[in-house]
Amino acid sequence: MCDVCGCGDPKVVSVDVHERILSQNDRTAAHNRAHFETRGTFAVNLMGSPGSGKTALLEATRRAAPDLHIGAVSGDLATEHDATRLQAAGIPSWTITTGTACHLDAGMVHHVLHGLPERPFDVFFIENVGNLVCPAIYDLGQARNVVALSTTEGVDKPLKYPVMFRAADLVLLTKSDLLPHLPEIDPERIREALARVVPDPRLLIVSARTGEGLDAWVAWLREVHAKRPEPAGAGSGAEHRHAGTQ
Amino acid sequence: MHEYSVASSLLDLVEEHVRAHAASRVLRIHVRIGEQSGVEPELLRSAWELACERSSAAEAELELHAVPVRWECRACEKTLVPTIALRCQDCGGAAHLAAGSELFLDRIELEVA
Repeated sequence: MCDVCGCGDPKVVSVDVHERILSQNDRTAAHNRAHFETRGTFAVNLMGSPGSGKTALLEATRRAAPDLHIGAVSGDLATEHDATRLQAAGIPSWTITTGTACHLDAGMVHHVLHGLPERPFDVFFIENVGNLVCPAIYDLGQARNVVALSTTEGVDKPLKYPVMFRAADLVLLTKSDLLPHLPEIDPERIREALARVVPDPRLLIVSARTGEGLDAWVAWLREVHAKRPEPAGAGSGAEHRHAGTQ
Repeated sequence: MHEYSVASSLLDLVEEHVRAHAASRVLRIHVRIGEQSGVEPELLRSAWELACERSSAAEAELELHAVPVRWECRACEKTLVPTIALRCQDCGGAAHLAAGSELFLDRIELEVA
């Protein structure tokens, strides 16, 4: 018998697994994705630091695109403040209170999907817990990841949090109305930092307060929503069914 | 700190195999962890010590194999040395992360009765 690994010992079995550690989360995320796709809903996982302006962005999105039927779920360690704000802005909203968890996972999002109304949303935002680290590695079943980065956070955030920014399909530089007060913040330098960690960076400069850039943001939402896969019909296998392993 | 939830997922996965093989305990666990996986090996190790307590994997050796980052050109598949932009120096194609984002349970060694 080998002293190093015990091979040759009949009591020792070596099992080749080759499976992602988060495979259970991935399966639930695929299930969520099928739920959104069968309803023709464009699901966006919105991430960013605490205070980067995620909730304000959604309020402004509602104002900029009143024809889009938008819903949202907000993840927070405590309170339902974000959902209350979004409800007041006319966005049907739910809350996932994570307690001490620093990110949302697919199971938490799945739990909310069962309470959604019959009429499907055009766009459903999953406003993640404010954090540039942990949410990056969890697939929730979204169609796209969007990261909100506010102008006050500095120009080097993409270099400091490459995993998060690499996951982003689109980065929104929020609070652009503050730029006149921040002479050291040059959006071009943020674009350069992003290009060092993401091969095809996409950055839009927006302000929820003045409305700057919201047209381009809403145009992006409409464009990607229009490109979504056709809702699958009954019997296609992509419906929101519950198999044994949820 | 999401490493604890990663460690719990790892334990769930390991325990599936313990049941499938009716194993008495886990001897060794091999995990492949990319430098840009978003998980810190040392934090995962500390989290694992908590997660595996009182499980059949409590005495298992956790072997973490680091995978360095490697960028490759999407068009010509050449390995790239990232410079200012993540573009191929030869053909100008966009890079993609060919290695370094893994978070895999590769292999486990189980003791069976």
